[in-house]
Amino acid sequence: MTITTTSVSTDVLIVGSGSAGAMAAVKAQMAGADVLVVTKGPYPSGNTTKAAAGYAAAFGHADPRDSIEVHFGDVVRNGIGLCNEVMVKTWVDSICALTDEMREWGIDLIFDGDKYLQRPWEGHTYPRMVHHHWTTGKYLMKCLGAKAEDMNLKALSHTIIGGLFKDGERVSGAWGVNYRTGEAYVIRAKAVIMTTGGYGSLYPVGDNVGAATGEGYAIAFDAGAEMLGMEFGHYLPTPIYPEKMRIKSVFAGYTNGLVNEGGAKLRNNEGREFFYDKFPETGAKKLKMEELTRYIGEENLKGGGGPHGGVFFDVSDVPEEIRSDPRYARVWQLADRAGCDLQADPIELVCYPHDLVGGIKITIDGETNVPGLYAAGEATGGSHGASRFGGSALSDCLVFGARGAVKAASEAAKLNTHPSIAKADMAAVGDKLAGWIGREEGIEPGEILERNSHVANIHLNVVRSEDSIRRAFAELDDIAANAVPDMSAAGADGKEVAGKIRQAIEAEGQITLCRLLGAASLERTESRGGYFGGAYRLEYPDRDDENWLKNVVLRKQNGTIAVSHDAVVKLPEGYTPAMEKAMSTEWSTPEGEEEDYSVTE
Amino acid sequence: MARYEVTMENNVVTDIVVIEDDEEMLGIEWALAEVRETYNHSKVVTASFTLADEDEVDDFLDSIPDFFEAGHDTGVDGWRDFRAKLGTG
Repeated sequence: MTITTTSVSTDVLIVGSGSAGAMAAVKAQMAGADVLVVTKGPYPSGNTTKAAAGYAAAFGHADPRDSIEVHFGDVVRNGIGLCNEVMVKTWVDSICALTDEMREWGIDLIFDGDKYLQRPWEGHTYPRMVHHHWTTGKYLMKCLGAKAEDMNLKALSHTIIGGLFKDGERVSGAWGVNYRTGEAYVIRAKAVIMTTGGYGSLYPVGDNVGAATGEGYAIAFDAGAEMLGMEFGHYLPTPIYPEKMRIKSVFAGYTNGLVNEGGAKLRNNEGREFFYDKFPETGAKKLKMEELTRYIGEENLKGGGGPHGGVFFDVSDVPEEIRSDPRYARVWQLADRAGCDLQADPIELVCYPHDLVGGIKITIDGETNVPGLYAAGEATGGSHGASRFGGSALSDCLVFGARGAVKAASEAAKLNTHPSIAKADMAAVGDKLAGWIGREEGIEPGEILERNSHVANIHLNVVRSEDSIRRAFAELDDIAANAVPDMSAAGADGKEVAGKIRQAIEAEGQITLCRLLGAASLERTESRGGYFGGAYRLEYPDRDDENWLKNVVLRKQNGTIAVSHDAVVKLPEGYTPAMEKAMSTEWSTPEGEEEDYSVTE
Repeated sequence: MARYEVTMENNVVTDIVVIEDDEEMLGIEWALAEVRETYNHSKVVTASFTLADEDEVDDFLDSIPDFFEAGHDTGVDGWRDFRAKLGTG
């Protein structure tokens, strides 16, 4: 097969088309830039489409006591000391106006008269989620997709970006391949915005879209971008066995609910209810979802999982009235449809990253440390600190997608000509693709993806240890030295070849990504978590504010990962009383409203 | 393996079509949640849902009648043989 290459030029290249990318595209074009979006899925797509509950915006429509200051305080409190507070202030200040702007574009959110129907969410002082019931992301992306269509935005769908080009220190473009046709692209750009999302699909199970494989982190890192907070993530438990129970949506609510209300048990491979080791009085009951996740992960790391690596979720004692309860009946419906007898063949649970909080380090205007390179959304780090507060993912993506786009468009407008792409760099890409395609006998990239996934699931899951991280490094070194050089994208037809090229790009990127996860985790010798995420080390189970109220930053140096620390960015103007109160108050469910606040992702 | 888009208009399944294979499929859990919550809120479900395979379409057709008031005809019976209609069986 011969690869045909098309050269394209644009002012602003946006990589990814989730909420950050799709918003960035609209705003950059509104700012007068010529825009091109390259996206692995259709346009728009990404994990935002699967976002369920909505996002927080302090309109105060459900409770007039709400304010931007309280919202700020809630976010910072849940970031467990590591939020970039200037980013948080920027974001909570902006999201209401941006939501109203999307309302003008036709976003289909749920209203009560002319006001948003704002519902409560765990950890938020007041009800402030705007939403479209349980499918908010679907309707947000419909809005951004329709807006893009109105504006005749240009997009290359089903195309994976394989790397960035640089002209000196400045990013000058990217190369990519349409993984359905095999057509390659060399794209000259005055600015590139990375909105490539998270890496949930690095792991073997979970609720992320298949395209969330994480090579975007590696591409930015290889171009010289600093990475911040890569050790942090928001993990949740989900079935890895029976295979037919591997649902692509959130299972965690069933786990927590059935433990607390149905008498379900979490057992290790000795049959012991291991949560009683940690919590002698309550076992697995009355825990925050984050705690439940952490200790399931810890037991798996210690080898307490079953034959498929997960702790047993024993629902055999759940009474009939709970099994038929509409909140939980779906578990048994799924089992019945899959032909699974959960009495005889119990579910095994492992953890997976529902979403991430660390990534490319950016300013409030989406700038990275690399000239011409911008980023926004889940691929970035800083705003969420150690724990991405519920209701924050979409709003962060939208605000920093918009701001990064305006800045990138403005900076691109200052350049009279495109930065150049060296012929040697283009030739190197051509050689790489030719090598993959021309190697008739070799290792399937899909095999390497499976090995990467295994490394992440076993050694780089929610709880890590020095031993697990070093094992991960050893396996990654072996993959990089002995498998990657023999990777083959040969196939029977063009479509198969193109699909394997995509896998090869993902496989290479994931090796770097896993090394970043390991390096950041190895550095942080403490455990720090909030309601919705954290980073946990087996040997350092406690939070260490004395030494670790700072960020771990990674950057590429002489082909290796250099580690440094960044101070936490505080709000320079200080706090209002409302901010201070929200920041310092241990949140608890308001009396009489327990049912409303019991929801969780 | 085919992917499907199921359309409901005014609480009735009006169309099922085969769509291009794509890994961005939302799938059955999102479809059921949307039908249930939209009906509970507004009593009118008019939307399209993407489903990953034939099993999910069967699951959808089996599950949604329970979300509506007894006696309401969601039109699912007419779609039980969707494989034959669409030539995907």
